[in-house]
Amino acid sequence: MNTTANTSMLALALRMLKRDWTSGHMTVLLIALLVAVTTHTTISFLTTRIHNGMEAQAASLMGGDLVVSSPRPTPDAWREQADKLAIRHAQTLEFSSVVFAGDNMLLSAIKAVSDHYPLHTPLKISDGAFEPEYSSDRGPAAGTVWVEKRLMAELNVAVGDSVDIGDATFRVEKVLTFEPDRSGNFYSFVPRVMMHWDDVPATQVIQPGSRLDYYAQFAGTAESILKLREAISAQLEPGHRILTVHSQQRTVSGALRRAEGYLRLASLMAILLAAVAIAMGAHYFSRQQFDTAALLRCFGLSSRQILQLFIWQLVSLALLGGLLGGALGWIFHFVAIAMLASLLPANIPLPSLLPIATGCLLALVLLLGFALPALTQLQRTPPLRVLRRDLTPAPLSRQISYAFTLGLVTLLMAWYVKDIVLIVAIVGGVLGAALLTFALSAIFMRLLNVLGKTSPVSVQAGLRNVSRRGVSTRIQLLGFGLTGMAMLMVILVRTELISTWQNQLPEQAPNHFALNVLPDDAPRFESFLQQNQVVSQPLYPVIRGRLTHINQQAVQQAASKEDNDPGERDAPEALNRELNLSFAPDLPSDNRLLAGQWWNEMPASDERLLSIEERLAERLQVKLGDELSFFVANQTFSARVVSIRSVKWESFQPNFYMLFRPGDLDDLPTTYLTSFHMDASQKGLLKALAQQFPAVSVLEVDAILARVKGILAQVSAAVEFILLFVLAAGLTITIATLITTMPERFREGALMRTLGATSRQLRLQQWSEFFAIGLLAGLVASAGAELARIALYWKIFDLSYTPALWIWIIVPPLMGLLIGIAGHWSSRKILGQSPLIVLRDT
Amino acid sequence: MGHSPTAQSSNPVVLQAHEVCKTVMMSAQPLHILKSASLQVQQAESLAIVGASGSGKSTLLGLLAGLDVPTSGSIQLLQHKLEKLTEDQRAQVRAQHVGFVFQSFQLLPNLTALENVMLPLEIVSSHDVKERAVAMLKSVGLGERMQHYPRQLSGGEQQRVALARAFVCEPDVLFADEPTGNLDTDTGERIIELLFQLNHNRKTTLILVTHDRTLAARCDRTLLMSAGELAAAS
Repeated sequence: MNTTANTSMLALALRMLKRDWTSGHMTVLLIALLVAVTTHTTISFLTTRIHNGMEAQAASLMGGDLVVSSPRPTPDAWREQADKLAIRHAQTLEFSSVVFAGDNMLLSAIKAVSDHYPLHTPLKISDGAFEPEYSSDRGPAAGTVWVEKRLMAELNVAVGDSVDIGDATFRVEKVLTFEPDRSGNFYSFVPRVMMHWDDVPATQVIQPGSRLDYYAQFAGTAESILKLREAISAQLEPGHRILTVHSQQRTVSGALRRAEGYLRLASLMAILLAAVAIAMGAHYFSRQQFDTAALLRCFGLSSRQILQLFIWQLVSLALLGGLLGGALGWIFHFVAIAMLASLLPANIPLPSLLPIATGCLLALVLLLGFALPALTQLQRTPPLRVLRRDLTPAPLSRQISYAFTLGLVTLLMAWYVKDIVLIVAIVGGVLGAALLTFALSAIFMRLLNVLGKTSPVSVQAGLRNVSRRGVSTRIQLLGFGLTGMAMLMVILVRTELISTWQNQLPEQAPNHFALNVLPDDAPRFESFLQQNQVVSQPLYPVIRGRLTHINQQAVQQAASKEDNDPGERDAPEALNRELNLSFAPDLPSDNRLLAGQWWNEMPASDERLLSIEERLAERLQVKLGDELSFFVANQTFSARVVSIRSVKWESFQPNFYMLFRPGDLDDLPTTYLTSFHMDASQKGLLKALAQQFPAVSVLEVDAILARVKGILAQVSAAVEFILLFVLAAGLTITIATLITTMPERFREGALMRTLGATSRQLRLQQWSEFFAIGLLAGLVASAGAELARIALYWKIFDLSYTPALWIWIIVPPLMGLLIGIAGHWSSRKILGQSPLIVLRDT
Repeated sequence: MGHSPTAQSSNPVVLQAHEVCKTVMMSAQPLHILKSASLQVQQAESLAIVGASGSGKSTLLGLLAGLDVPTSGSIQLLQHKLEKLTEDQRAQVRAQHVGFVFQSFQLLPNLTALENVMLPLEIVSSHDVKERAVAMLKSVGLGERMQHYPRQLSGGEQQRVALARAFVCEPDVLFADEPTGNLDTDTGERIIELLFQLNHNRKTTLILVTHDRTLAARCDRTLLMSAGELAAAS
């Protein structure tokens, strides 16, 4: 076909689009499209911004947008690249050293920081132990150190005094009260001393073999950071590790990971709902166009031209819907941001306009993908239909049509969520729901007829309608069922996500860790806490030890395997650092046994037995039955792995990578640790505690807890807000579904009224029909949601699945009621309309 | 059997059907709707095909207009042998030469009277589409109701819109299927009047199917369809 003909076809398509628009036949299609695109763009804009906000907060916990750790000084080339990309950077070095003050000495965690440190969140310091704290966006100047209160107490120094580190002497200038990027290891109980980067050489403490942790920190725009990250990734050497938000803060990362998963799920659900609605709208539109298509063919359009005409209409509609939906999404996302303002960091940069482009693309894919199968039917309209209205075009083969739609849904999801498990879960759920719909509906319809026998005549008529409109009923069932399923999943997952988060950090979450409780002090320490009504965890024994061999193979070799694969690592520092080993008679309450057996299920034996945490086991490729060797206080011993546990690190309760059987560590030097909750009003007790138990180190984690709680509150709010959108989408689509089946109901209603049916009879009939459809759709939704949830919980959200029996009891009647109300509302006009007009129009 | 009724005048032949049969399968049994029908129509002639309901006259009309293909036999519309053409090629023939009027009007309910008349012109992408449609609607006396939708018009008005739509493309042959079938007698007569007036002014060949004797009597010639067979009416 030549260009002129194409152009005139486009012009004709646009004119027809405009006319169809005024007729309202396209309204359903456009509303569904708008809902889809608006939801997509709103969620895209919002998640981008929330994500940016959350990443920014998380980045401040990490010390930069990009942080690379290394056991050696990092290459200057990285910083030169950063300068070129206008990225700010800083360096820190962490090591342990003894700090001297006169005759007193204390092992301390030294941190040397370069000029531009900290990059994100300021430090907090005070001018004296009891002075108010304030922010500082730089570290100590050369020749001075900032120290924690604990160190001042133990070394008996005050601000202005001198301390020695190695060969250098420093003046204590400030008290360090908050350090944003203090590593997430809550068990590091030695006090912090912060010094300037340039002073390190003078101390002479850096010797070959020293255990050193260098951190190169970078902060800049997401785009430039990405560039730098790519450049650095290419230059990584063994020992270099790119730290990410996910690798650093388990609690935050767990929440972030689940929130991301949830937001993806919600977006996907909205898109699926839209796809269903569009397929329905197109089906409706297509049926309305049979006569037009027949007439156009009669007037001389070829079948190809007919298809072209409708494709042009779809493309124009997609563009219109894409742009309009994009604009709405842009506006709505501001509303959402305003609602979340108190939870979000200020000045999150505006998101790019990319979602508008993807929104248009989405509209095009949705329309062409889901509407085209219905519209290809028009292409086959026999022109003879103008003489014989009973001739309807042959629909596309059902198998082809379903396979095409399913394929497209899968592709769409792959493009959208890029998460194979999520896709498999949803496709499985949808397929399961579809199969169920068709299997159950046949049985259910028969049951309805049997049940109907004893009901009033109008109810019987309504119930008969359900089975009489076989195909139409099944399509509606699938539509309502999928809508219900999507909303159920979103609601169920949200409820459990939020309650998991809340349970994770109960009001009385421990906010202090007490370490180094000596065995002799232990009973007294416990009673001290009890007497002062401090809620505490039990005392856990701790033996500091280093993992040396796995099955007689040195651990350093195992570690080097990891270094061959540089990049994001969630590896605990277990390989090189000392580990806290512990023993326990019972499995800790928040642990779960994943493999093997607990001691009490095993026969007595002489060998030492241990249980290992699952992620560490995975990292070290340790299996049940492996032999691990440890070096503790100048002795080496081995133990056999007899179980693998999962551990809730985010619980803020003492937890251990390695748990031994009681008695297996008896001959080793043991101290105890615990965590406890102390209100602000109880803080005074800390001083008494320090006096009575001078050896005990207390770590206050209030600040970290507060930050984590803030992030969780923010994520929960985001989740709730996005739920509203999915609900709105579901509602619109339910009404759209009803509208598409309305013409037939209108005609039947008018006929029945002509034959003398009363309004009450019609109402009863409508109610019973819609209620039955809703009831069955509720069953389909419950089944589909449960199927998908099993897979989701298992793989994505890391939540334990429990069957939600209540949904089977509540959802079907509830959906029956809702569909009944919606159906009755949308067909109320049947009752008011003159039968003559309806019959003449149809 | 089958007659070959021919026209009397010396005008060129525009439509020729030769032993056209149409058989469809009904419950695995062949049903012969048309049995060897032949006819010839000359330019500017008007031909009525009359017969009882179910006699096969609408089927014949559909075949003659190229909306369907015969099981056997041949149909030549102007220089086109319809049974040799694909559906798309027949569509082209329809676009260039044929107009239709239907019993049920077949107006698109979501288009105004004017838009309905404009539609066939838009398909052949003619010039002055709107002007021609407006003029045509005025000529059928609907100048005041152009922006009305079909449901806002009476049956007679709707059929007048349909006539305007059929004639606006200036077709060589106009096929009409029971054009007065849905109208009362008075309205039907007015429509017949209009139809023949337009036909006369534009020298269109008119082939109509009807069981309305008054309408048939207005035509130059009448053929009787009975149980799938065609004969010259007495």
